[in-house]
Amino acid sequence: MSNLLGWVTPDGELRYLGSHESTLMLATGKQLPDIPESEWQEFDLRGDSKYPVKIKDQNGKGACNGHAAASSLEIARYVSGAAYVALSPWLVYADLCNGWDVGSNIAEALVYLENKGTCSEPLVPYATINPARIPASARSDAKRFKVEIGYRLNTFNDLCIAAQLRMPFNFSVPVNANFNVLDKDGVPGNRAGMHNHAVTGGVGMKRLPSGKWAILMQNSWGTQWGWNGYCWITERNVEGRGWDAYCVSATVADPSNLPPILA
Amino acid sequence: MIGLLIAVLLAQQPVPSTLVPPAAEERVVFSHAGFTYFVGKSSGSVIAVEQGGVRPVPPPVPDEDETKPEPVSGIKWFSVVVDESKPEQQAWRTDPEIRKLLESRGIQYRSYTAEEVDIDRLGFRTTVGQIGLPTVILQDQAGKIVKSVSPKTKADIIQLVEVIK
Repeated sequence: MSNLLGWVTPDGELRYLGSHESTLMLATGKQLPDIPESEWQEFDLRGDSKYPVKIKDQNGKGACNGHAAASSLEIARYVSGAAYVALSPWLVYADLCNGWDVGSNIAEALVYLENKGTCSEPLVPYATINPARIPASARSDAKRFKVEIGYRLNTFNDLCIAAQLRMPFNFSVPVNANFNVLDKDGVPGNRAGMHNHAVTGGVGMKRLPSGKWAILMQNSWGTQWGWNGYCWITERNVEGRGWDAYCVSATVADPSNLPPILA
Repeated sequence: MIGLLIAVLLAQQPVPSTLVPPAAEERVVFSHAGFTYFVGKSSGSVIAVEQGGVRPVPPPVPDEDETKPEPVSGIKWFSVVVDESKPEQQAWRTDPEIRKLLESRGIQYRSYTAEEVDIDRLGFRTTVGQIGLPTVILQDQAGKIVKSVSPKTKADIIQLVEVIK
């Protein structure tokens, strides 16, 4: 645990920041479509009364990447029309950290989700990080829930385009100074710095009164943090070193939830 | 040879002049008591036309039913494949109205971008290539394609859903 930076949220909970600067840069081989800002539209998936994705809580562990990855897959499954299944962040993190709570990085977590998937949440007890304690049923179930990694996102503009494409994404933010303090628009007061926390985006987008665009960020610190677990991120909030971001789509690996395959 | 001589002789005859009346005489036009009067300035001829009596014939109004898609039945899966570079199509993917309509009919909704590997996994690639983007694929319980179309707008999709029995 000594490798992780602790962060106390307004509700007095200690959270650990476990996103490392990635040495792995995925070459997706695809060019993100260029959608001009003039075509961007505000949206918020939570406006659908049946939007099912819930805020997760990594409380006490540096498992932000496992949580961001599982949340992205849940959102991608919603976008694809698949039935909601709460997915386990702990299977991903346990295998990535191998029982040592030292954090991980975004690219590793998504590659894991692409190759092995993650299981439904009840199959792995909360806060399990020892891979030896992962039941075999969880590993088997994980084959049903996988992602396809879409594009590497290199700028805030790319994050906005991915949101417009309804492709959820994992991205890194610098948690420092006034990250817990949101202004009247729901934007954190953090400053440029080392990116040390992985979160999820793609749930919504809006134009602030200032005219700047903001993306809706889904955190994994419970619903007590921010605005019911969410905040709005502007370009200023993601300045700094250690940037990492990829968008994903869900795959139809779940045979119980599969449109019939054409002959 | 004789024919050629006749043609030459005819060509040499003078063309008779003919008096052609002017196509339209200059007229005075006025309206009175529900009629419009056209009075020729030189001839003095009068033409009276009842006002409103000559109306343009409106083009035939298309039957609304002709623009609606043919009713389809036995649909279990409704898949929308969008062009991922078109935000307006992407917005259909999470449109609550479309989802609610399909759910009320017991139809499973799925959406994809054309670039996803799932399009190949599901065997949709050929249909998408033939129909073009966006593509809506309607399948029955067994997976047989009942209908595939390329909607232009969200309204087209709604209309398609509404004719599913």
